[in-house]
Amino acid sequence: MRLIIGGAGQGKLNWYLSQNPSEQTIADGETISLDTIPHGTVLNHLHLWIFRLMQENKNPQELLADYLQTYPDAVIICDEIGCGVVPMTSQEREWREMTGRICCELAKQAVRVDRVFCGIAMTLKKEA
Amino acid sequence: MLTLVSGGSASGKSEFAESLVVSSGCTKRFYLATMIPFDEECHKRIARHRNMRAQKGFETIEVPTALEKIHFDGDQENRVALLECMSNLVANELYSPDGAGEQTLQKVIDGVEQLTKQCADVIVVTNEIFSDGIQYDPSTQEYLRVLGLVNQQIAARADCVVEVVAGIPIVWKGKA
Repeated sequence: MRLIIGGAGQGKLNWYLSQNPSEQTIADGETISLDTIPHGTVLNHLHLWIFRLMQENKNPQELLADYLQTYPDAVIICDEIGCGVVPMTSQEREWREMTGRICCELAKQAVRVDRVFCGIAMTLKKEA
Repeated sequence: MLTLVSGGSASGKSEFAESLVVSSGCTKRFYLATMIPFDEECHKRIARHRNMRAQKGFETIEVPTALEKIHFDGDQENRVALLECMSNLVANELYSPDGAGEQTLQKVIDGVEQLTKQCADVIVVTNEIFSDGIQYDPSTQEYLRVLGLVNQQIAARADCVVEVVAGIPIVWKGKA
């Protein structure tokens, strides 16, 4: 599994697709059904998928583990959302916490982690 | 040579960008200011900054919109321009009545292109405002989207891209 992180609007998915133009199956966390695991080798907008799952009282960590069992070579793309003022609502605070913790865990498991800034990638981790 | 400098607020990016101007070797220094003054306090602050930069040999040009129309007389040799800040220019183009509206991305990129044609060195300062996780209203989301694209397109054609963190330059592309 690979993890790609970076701020909103930095071109994370485009950067990945420019490196891997044949990639076809992208599950968009903003719109996919929450009734099943995501179906796609790329899971984009992980942070929005987490947000939607939490709103429906579903457990993002369990579903993500199931997803990775089916797609062990998945590429997971997530916005960095932790660099603002502490949110006013507990719902947003819990979302921010959950997203950050999940990214830490994914980064541990990942064979490669990239961070995209202004369309440019910096590799933070790469296993030989 | 085109350099893009980004960073959070109060990260030291302006100071770093000014140091690039001073070390560029060009002696004709231009500061392209993008802020629209909306009250007396703004005018006072701008006047103060203008004076400070004049002492460093900068000539200030106001470009709150329409950067693509910029014109310098004469040869590009020996001319360095520092544009600060792209986040203001994009906001002005998107939201002010005489701004470019839906044409913002193209107009701003044209403007940067004009600068690189007319100046030996160009330094563009932008702002890292994309990692707070806040779901803004649609108009603000659109602003973030356009500024993100502007940053990506400038970075793609820049010789050098630097993120400044606590005054420390992190080089993403090229050599600062």
